[in-house]
Amino acid sequence: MTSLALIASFIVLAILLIGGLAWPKILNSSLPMKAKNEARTQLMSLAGDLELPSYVLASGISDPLDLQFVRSHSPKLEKAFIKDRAQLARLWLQENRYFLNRLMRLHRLIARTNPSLSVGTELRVMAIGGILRGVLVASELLVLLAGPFRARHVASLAMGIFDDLSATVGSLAGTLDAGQKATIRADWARMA
Amino acid sequence: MAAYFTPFLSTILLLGLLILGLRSRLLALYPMFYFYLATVALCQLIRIAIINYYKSYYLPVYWYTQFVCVALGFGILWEIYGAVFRHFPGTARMARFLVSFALATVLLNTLIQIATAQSAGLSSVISLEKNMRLVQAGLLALGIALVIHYEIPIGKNAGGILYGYGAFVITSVLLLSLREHFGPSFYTWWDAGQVLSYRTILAVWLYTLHSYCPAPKVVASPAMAEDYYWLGKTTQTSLAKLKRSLGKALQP
Repeated sequence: MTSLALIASFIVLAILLIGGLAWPKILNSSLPMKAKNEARTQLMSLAGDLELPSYVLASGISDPLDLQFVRSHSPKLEKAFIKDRAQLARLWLQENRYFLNRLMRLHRLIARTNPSLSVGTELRVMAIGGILRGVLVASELLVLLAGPFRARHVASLAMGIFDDLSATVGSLAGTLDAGQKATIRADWARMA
Repeated sequence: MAAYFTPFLSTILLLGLLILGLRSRLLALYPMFYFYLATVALCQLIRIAIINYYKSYYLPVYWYTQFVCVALGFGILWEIYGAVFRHFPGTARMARFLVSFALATVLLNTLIQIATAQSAGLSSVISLEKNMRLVQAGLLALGIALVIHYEIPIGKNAGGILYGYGAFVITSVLLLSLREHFGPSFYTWWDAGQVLSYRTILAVWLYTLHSYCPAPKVVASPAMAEDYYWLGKTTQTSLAKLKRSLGKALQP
């Protein structure tokens, strides 16, 4: 009974807090394009080597026109072609996971020294990071089970979430002063 | 001779820690921790005096002094949170929020137990101490999780207090749970386990707190030089990207 009550208390409070703090931030998450670009510049000024995997590459890998071409011109190659594209798609997803890990690490460096960090923003970043991780794992499963051409919509979804996450982390970086930014750059260089 | 000194061994170790704290000036940095140590040493001396001269009062005196020590443990937690997150205001803010959340959970849990007449947690002193230690263990776990998640560099001193006190609290919770479960048959083992774990932690503290060891600081190079470095790095990355794209475009 004691542990049940404790678990119930925890769940009730967690729902109330996430509802109260993170949800309004998730709803009002769309930043204007200019603000997003500024946020990205801020991010690049802290970690110049942090490069988002190319979406053009992903759309090229899972382009259905390529599959149609192979099917119409050399159907014998279809199986090998799909296998090859699936491998490429998995590599692209792995690159995304690596980028996500680095972005979250940079965010932790920014968040820990940021006096204006709000709990709502931090919870939101954690939630988006978790969702994105889930989307990437689901995409890998989808590529394995249904092939790379069925997973092309998930890639655009992942890129959209990445865009939002990068903008949030970048705008948080914009609130730091020059000294704090210099410390983060030094930390980032030491960790690389 | 050895048997004569054994009851005093913990007190000697505690006094040694206090003297080292004075010498290394750690006392000024962690006053609450050293106040806790001094109180524990005083409680031990009182218990030794009571068991020798007023044996019938030993049990109530033991539990009263024990609760004073457990309550002061919350002071150590407060101090260690402050020391570890001093230079990290963002993490400190998250820690304040999470600690409030954890305490609110405990409060809500207590209210539910009172409402459903589940007052077993308050029915015995052992349960009460165990519950207090459990709350401390939860708060310590939270602090350690934040240190790991945000990669907060902590020095040997703060690390010694944090991990040492954490190990002590976890051992206490385990021993109290076993005592509650097995009853009087476990008393001898409980007593021996408590003494052994306590002395081990004191030895760990003697090792980690014998001199001042601050947290490693990341030295940031001058902003201007850093900016040039990153400008160069970004240009280098962009040029490499351009070269790759050019290579692709030139391929037949």
